[in-house]
Amino acid sequence: MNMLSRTEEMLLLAVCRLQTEAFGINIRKEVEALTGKRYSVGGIYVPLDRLVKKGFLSTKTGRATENRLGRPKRLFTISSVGLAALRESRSLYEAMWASLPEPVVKQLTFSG
Amino acid sequence: MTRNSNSLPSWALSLLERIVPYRNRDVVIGDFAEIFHYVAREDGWLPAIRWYLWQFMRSLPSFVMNGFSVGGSMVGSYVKVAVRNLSKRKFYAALNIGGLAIGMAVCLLILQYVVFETSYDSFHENAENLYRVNLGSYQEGELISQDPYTFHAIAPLILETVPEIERAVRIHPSYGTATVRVLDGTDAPVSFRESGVGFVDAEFSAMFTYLSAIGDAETTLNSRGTAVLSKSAARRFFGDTDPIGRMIDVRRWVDGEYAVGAVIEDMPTNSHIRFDIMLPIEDLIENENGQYAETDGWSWTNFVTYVQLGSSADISAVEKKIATVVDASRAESRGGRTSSASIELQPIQRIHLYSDTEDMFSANAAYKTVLFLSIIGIFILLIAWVNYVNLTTARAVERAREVGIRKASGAKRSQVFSQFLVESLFLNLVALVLAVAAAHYALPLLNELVGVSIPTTIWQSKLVWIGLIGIFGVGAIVASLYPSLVLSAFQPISVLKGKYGSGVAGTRLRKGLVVFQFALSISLISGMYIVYEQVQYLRGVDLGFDLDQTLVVQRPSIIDNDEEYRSNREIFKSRALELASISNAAMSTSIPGVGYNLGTIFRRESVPDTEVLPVNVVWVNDTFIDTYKFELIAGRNFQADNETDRELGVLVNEKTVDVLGYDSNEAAIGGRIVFGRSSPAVILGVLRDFSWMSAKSELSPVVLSYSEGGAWYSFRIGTQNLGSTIDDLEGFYSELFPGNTFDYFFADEHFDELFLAEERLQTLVSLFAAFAILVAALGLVGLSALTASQRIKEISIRKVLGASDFGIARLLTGHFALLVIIGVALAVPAVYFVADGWLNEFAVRISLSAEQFLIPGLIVLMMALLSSGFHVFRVAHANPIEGIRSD
Repeated sequence: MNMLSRTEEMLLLAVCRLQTEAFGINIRKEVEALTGKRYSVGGIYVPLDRLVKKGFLSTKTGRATENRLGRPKRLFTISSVGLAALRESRSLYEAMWASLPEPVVKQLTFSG
Repeated sequence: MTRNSNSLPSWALSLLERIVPYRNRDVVIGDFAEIFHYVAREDGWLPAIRWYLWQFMRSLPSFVMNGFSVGGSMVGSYVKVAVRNLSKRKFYAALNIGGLAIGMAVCLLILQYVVFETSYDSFHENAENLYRVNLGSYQEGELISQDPYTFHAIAPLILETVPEIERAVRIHPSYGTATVRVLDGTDAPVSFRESGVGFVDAEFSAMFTYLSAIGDAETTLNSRGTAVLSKSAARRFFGDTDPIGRMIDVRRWVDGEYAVGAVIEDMPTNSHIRFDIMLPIEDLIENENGQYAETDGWSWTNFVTYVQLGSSADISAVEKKIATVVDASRAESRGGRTSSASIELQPIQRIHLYSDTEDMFSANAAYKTVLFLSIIGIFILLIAWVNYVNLTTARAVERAREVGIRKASGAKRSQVFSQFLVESLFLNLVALVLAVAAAHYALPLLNELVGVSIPTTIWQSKLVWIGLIGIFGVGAIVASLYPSLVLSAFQPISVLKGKYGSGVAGTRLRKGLVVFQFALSISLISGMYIVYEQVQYLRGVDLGFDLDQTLVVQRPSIIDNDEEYRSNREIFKSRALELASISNAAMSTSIPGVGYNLGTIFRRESVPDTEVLPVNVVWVNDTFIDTYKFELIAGRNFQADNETDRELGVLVNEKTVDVLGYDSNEAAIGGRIVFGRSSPAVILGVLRDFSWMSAKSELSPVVLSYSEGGAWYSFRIGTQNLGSTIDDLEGFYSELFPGNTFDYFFADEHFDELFLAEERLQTLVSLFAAFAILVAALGLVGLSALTASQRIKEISIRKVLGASDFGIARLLTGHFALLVIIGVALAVPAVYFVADGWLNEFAVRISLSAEQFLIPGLIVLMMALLSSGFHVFRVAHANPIEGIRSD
């Protein structure tokens, strides 16, 4: 089984959350807001490209605006493979957490 | 698409367009533009620019990685493969890195030397506007030299009359060591011998930028009887105690006591002026016991004049103005007799490299040495790069299969190329790091060998780093690009079938590069050989006197009573002669190898005073020529009891007789000559020609004049009981001249120091030749090992068919002989041209001969055979079955 890495999972979820607004800039902002990790403007495309290559994301060219000096945006949407991977990841997490013995669960909940 | 003030500036845009890789270019640029627009609107333009620059920097790695590969980073993988490849083949990696590192280190050291030598006097704030006034000397109406020794009347005169001159400063160096005593009220003051003593004008500290440590140098130099010390001199004299207000006594030219008024930081090592003690020049010029007291400033040329011009001054116009006022003033002082001075203003930053006056403050490096070393450095680096290219392309065959498989499984040429490029860059980088470390630790060694003092702060010089990046950059591009191109060019099908495309062209190039290496190595070795032979030859030339077993003692400098000194001097001499081991004793104001006392003009009394000739004068006593074994070929020696001899008598060399135009040596005896303006003399005897300042310089007219005492006491001593003889002399000395240190040396050792420059050159050339050969040998070891292992099957079959070990070895190494011969052929014209030029600067020189090229050729051939022989014999000796069975 090919598992998602944390970074990949985070990026995929950010794309899901942003829905039709999943452009490079927004994804960058979203990731920063969520985790504090700051990608550079160019750097964000390195892991996104990797996800596209693996088939988790699909991408299409968006419209150009005046503020972008006529350059297009790149819109990312999650693919069915991506969704499956997220689903798999989630069920794995849930399975992992579910099978914990009672005392550990208590510790985790109240150690606060 | 209108642009407004919040838009990304066009330079920022074009920068991105150049850097961002094609794949995401538009999107990334769009992102940049959009956020820039937003930041500019919210926070203003400047923060937006700052944001842009910061983000640009941070995005660089992703641009580069995207540029190298498609999807994710391959650079890491390339580095990994590179490290694996290198560690699998440690032998080649070591040869490759070692060769490169040596080449780079040598080049880097030379770079530091060059940067240092060219940085002289650039630290002065007004460096651009400072000039030294050089005065021309004429011989028979022709300008023969421009030297920095000028009259002391020039500076005040031109400061007043030439408006472009903002400052004019005179300096009078000590021309030898002064005795400095620290006066602390104790009975026996501590004394030091100091060579960095200078009398200077008060403006000295305003004109030049020497950092002050304590007190103000200018006010100190403005008042008579005060001294400015360097920090290290102050520490030498007074330890850690406060030097201000302390008294020192300086004896040289004039005797005087000075109170320390200020301390400056030690003058930088790249300053052509190097003083430890600066004294007001008035204390020298106006001292009534000094030699300048009675003159009007137009007779002695022991002063150096510096001027500071306004930044818009026209140099040649100023030179003409100075010449005009100097001529007028000089004519006035000489009662109307005119002469024309030739004035040159030499920019201060050019003094160090372009002066040929050797005794000026500190030795001047000829720009030729700098040029020569630069060329050698570049050559050694070239050898190293050639090696690298050779070794890497030679391995092409080995790695062809790897390339084939990579390509067959879908790698593009650009990817294979990137892989080899990364490997090369990695290797270059390792070599560079090693080279920097080696150069850092070898700097003191270089300082000693070249006789310079390059501070380790040279690493802070921008030029050194630019050079360093240059070495790496050019090496990485030239030496990495070609092998990478060759290696990535293999066609997968043919390679996997076993056909290698390396072909004849590659082999021919490799051979060409090896020839180039041989030629360079041979050139350096024959250069070394020629310098060695010339120095040996110069040493062997008959000097015309004998310096063996001659001990020289410096006269005492602390003399309280002249009468007493004179009688003690005679006692010292007679006591010394009573010693069984001392056969002769002499006194003179100079000795061979130290220099002349006076350079002046002279003529025969019978010719008009317009036909004067240059001459050098030394003062000696009556026993001098016997002590040094000069050969008297006509006339007689001085007679100490003859008053005419003492007053007028001179001994001359054959050259003098020749230039004065006497028919024979005998005819010159009794001849009357006139020195300078009016000092008459009579020739008593003629000495066989001698090389007072070694055979390096041309024979010139030299006149020995009579003087009872002098600065040097010379003793010819026997070989037995040398130690006790010196002890005895020291005993007499300290008894007769209390308070003075007994300084002595052997005349021949001192004379030998005249060859210091040549010896340094010899050491350097030898060292570089050794490095060049080492690097070339490293290359050959690798190359021959590769050739041998690639031809293993052929060799094995030959052996099976009956070839001998020796025959195989000859087969594999035979072509080296041809390459060496071609190397010699290339080296001969280059070396001949350079060496002939160098040798022509000497008065006497060796002639170049064939053996000076053949022997280096043989040495290189031997080196080639030895370094290739090791592997070749191993292969030749191996069991052929192993070789045939190999796959």
